[in-house]
Amino acid sequence: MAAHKTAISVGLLYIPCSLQKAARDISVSFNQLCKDSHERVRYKKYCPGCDKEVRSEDIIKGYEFEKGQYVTITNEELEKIKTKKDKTIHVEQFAKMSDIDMIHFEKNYYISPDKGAEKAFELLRQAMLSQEEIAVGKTVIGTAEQLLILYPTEKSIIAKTLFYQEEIQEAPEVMPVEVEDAEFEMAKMLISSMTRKFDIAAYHDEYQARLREAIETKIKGQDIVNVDTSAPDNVIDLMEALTKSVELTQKGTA
Amino acid sequence: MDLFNRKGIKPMLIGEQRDIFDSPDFIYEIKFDGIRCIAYLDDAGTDLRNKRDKKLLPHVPELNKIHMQVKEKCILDGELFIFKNGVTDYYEIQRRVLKTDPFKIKLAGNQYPASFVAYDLIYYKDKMMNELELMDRKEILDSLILENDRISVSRYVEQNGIALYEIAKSKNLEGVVAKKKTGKYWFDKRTKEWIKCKVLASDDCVICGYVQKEKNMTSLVLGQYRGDELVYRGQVTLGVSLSDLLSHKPERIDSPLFAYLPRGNEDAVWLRPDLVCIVESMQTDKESFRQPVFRGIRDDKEPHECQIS
Repeated sequence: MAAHKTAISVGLLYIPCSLQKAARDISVSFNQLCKDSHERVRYKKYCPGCDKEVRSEDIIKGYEFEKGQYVTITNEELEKIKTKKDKTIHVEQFAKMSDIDMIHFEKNYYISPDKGAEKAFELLRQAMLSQEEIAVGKTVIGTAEQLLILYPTEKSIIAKTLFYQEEIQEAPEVMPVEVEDAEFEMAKMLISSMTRKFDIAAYHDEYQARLREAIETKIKGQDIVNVDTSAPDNVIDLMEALTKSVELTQKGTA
Repeated sequence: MDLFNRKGIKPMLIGEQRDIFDSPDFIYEIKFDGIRCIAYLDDAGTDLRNKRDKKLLPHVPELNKIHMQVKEKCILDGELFIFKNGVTDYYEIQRRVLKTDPFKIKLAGNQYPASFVAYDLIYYKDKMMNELELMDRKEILDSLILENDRISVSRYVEQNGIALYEIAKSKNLEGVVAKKKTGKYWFDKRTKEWIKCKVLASDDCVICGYVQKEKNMTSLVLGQYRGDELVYRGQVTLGVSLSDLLSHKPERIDSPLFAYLPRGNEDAVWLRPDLVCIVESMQTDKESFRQPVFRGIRDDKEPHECQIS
């Protein structure tokens, strides 16, 4: 995973560092193939109005403000309003982790300080840890202005990106309901009976596991064709054979 | 902190490339066409690192048990390679370490499993071994490892370099390495105590641009450094794949960074000299390569390290 170069700026502190995604997508992805030729299927962009393929230089951007009605916007116009490419994470305030509703959490990134910045980084981490505070900041990733928090862990600092308030949808309305004491006790009992220590390692995507297994089996069926049986299949045998034959030739000439 | 825990070892390097020779002061080993690898092995597990201290085990998980094949806690220097059709295949191992998808890695490991061959001992029990002479290190190394398909000890011959070289050549192997028997282990140093004698010479070059030619062929424009100056080193066409190059997302620049550029490069697309590649060629004393073949991009070397030898 490539690291994203950035820096944390807090008041007068400036800490060059890099971000690395904490999670990755490991699900199996398929390619689309033509049924007859097994070639990869390619996309062609097509305009039904002109009845022809459109090249990328002939494509412009439009925004549909009403069904079938578009305003067009040029790349120059977009360029003008782009956020200045500022990769620095500007810390704007500190706060309590509990002030943030979990629903805003999006992605996690590991942060590691660049060479020479370890001390300032450690200072920030320890100070946040002892004050039990987290940093709230903004940075630019691509063209998006990203809101994020920095929170200290035992060893390092993790960045969590946040959804803005306007990105969060309103929760569906809930009608107030009365519950009986006995039912409430029963529900609580159900929960305690199913409570055990959580171990994330015990959970797997079982569909993905079966999918991978199926793929492996198919590949094994095809492998047999590719094996060269004439060559040594083991480096120890090869090394032994070579050194032995050197010894033999030496004896022969001595 | 103890070197075992600190990691970050910069291994000893080959300091010279020359024609094969016989000498009673040297031992000769087969040169494996793989990736330099430092193995940190103890009861807790296996940790493999490349020359830049990058962890390699995630790319070769089939080696996660090799610490069970050593009798003591140790740091081994050696080569990580993939054996294919009777030779070590650099292309396969290079492709493997570029993979990140754990499932694709597992599939590749089923088909062509990687192995580690140890040729030196840096640390043993709880002591550094770098001050010992090579033959003393080799002696401990030979009794330390229980070989299996995933880990082995490099065999060597004494005195008879030429004979080993000829046999290696006949088996299509890359060549041999001559090592001085009394040599100590010098971290991060190119010394003439380790000498490579290769059938084909190989050089690391910086990719400075590419030229698209007829019949879908692509040539790479090569450079090497002389001190801080980037020097034009010719083009290589054989073995080059444009899509492979572009998958590394090279950054384009407007003009070449060479002080002097001969003709024949007018149509080149210039790239920022960020990518290092291996170029093999016939042995020659000249400035340019003879019958060069592109062998792949390597990410364990900085462009600036590609100095004209």
